[in-house]
Amino acid sequence: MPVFQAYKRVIKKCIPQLLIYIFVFVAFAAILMTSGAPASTVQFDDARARMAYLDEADSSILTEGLKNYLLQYADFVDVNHDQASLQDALFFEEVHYILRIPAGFTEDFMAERPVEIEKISRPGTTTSVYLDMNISKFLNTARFYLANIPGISQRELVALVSRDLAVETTVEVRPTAVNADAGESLSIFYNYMSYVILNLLILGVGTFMLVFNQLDLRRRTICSPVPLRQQNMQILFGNLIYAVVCWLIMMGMGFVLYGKAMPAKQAMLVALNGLVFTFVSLSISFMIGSALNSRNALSAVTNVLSLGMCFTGGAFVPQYLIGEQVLSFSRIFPTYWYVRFNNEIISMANITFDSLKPRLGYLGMQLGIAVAVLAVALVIIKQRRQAENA
Amino acid sequence: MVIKVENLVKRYGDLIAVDHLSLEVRQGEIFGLLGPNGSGKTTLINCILALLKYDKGSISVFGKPMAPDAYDIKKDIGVIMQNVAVFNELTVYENIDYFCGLYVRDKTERKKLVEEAIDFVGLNDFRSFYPKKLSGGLLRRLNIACGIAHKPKLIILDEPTVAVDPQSRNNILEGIVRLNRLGATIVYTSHYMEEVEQICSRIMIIDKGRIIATGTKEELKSMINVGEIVSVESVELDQNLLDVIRRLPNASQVDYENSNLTVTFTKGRNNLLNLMDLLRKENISYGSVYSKLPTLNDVFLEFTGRQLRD
Repeated sequence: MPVFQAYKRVIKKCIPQLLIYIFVFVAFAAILMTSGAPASTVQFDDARARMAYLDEADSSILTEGLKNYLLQYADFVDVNHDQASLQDALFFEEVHYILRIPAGFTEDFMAERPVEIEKISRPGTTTSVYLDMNISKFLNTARFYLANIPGISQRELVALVSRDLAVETTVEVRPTAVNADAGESLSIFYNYMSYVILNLLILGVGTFMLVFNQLDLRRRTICSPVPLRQQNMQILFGNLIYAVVCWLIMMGMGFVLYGKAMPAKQAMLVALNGLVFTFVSLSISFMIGSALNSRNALSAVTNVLSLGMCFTGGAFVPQYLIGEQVLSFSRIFPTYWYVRFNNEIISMANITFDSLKPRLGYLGMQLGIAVAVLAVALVIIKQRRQAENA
Repeated sequence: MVIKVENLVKRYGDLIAVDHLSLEVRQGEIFGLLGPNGSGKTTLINCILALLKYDKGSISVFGKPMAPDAYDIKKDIGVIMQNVAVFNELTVYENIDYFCGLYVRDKTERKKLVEEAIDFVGLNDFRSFYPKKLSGGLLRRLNIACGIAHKPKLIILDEPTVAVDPQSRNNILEGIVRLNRLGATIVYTSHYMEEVEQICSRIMIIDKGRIIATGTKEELKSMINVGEIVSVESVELDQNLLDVIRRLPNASQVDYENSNLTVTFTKGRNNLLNLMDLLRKENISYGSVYSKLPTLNDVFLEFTGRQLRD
């Protein structure tokens, strides 16, 4: 396969240029990783709150039991009981939560009368919700025993409640979607990848097509006994191999850097999207390589086309920050559909066929663009050859 | 017959590039195609190689009709294009290997052939060079190596010595003669009459797509009236004596300018001797004397009224 061998050698000569794009991309990905939020927000961390515990009930066995239970989840802080001191303590975050047990609480509780406890917390804090839950859990469990064991003493009640609440269950959190912070990094990474893939392909495929389409060189090859169809097949084979290798490198890089941050289903779909985009880039590169005559023109067109498509399509800037008109225009570019597919797939919590179905259209749009561009390329080639042979 | 072209017509719009041209190239000869730039040489070659469609006529190579898909014919043809057709991204070795690989699949055999081609054109010291690092002459040699590496039976060279230094030109011409001695039939196009005269066994002169004359160089020269051109430098002559010279046997044209006399004789015996006798008899002193036999340029001049390089 001499044409394929020549293809390999021409690409080999382009490797230094290709590496520049890959190195810049790796550097970008590394910066993205180090500056991004840790990808551990799906895990549970036991947090301890600072709490002021004010017992006006002169500490009964029941309230002591509640206090001991809360000590497992909070650090008690001594503060003055006057209103101003308590507000200051909350404002300066000396405490996150203030619990006041009113006088007569134990009697009312044991008599199964309605009771009230007073709590003050910083609004919107997770620790306050957490402590609310624990207090409710303790008192509700106690209420349950109280209602079902007539004449139960405070000591027995606290013992039973403490025993029940000491039971622990191991909970494994399985991510069904990429967490929001990692998702942002992943989207940026895979969206930026479209620019790199486009450049790698235009540079490699475009360069070879440009070289091979030089009139004298092509005529010289046509003079040989290798049939034209076989020559074209070898070029096609070379293009496909090169494109797939580029895709594998990019996806491999994504797997190494973000493999653990993305569930398998999402990873496979993002990889599939990448492969489809690689084929679109291949047809664009093929068209450019067939239409142009000089390397300077190739370089200029590469920059204009790849930067233009990636900027308007949302590869560099999130699509929600791009104007509606620009986005409407960018629908003619494959980058728009590639980026949209990535963003939606990465942010999906649960992927089913029904939820995936409308997104498959994005892949279809990319393939449609690829076929259209390829058709234009073939028309260009045919016209050029007719002009040359006339 | 290696190549047979009959009544070929190729038009570019209103321009007739090849005008009812017929030719035959015989086995083992070096066939020269001589003509000025734009005379239709390259168009004719491209038609023979089935690179161009033509309007009329027929072309056969090795006795079979030539066509774009005549791969069994193409395998025995070596082509050296007018413009150097090599990959700038491949080294000298890789380029020759690529073009040889279009004809020879076996790796071991190809390696041997590539080495032989490198040896043949003298590019051993440059095998790992990229074409951009080669001089014009070396680049032309690479172009030739790419065309001959697979040892073709027919080699077509389209102006292979354009923009080449004299040393490389001699090297290339010697190489072509060697290839011919090794059994290859050569078609050599050029607008340099000296080259064609030097190496070609048969020559066709074309102009404006038409055949002017065909034959060996001796046959071509015998077709014109010019026998020899005598130049005498530093000679003082008056009008009477010039009239006497004009009356010498076979003298067809007499020019006298800046004390230099040029007499063109038609074919005949003792033309130079007759002129020298006359000058001696008239006691005319003179400097250098040159006698030049007619060239292909004279042939072209006589047939077209123009110089080959006009």
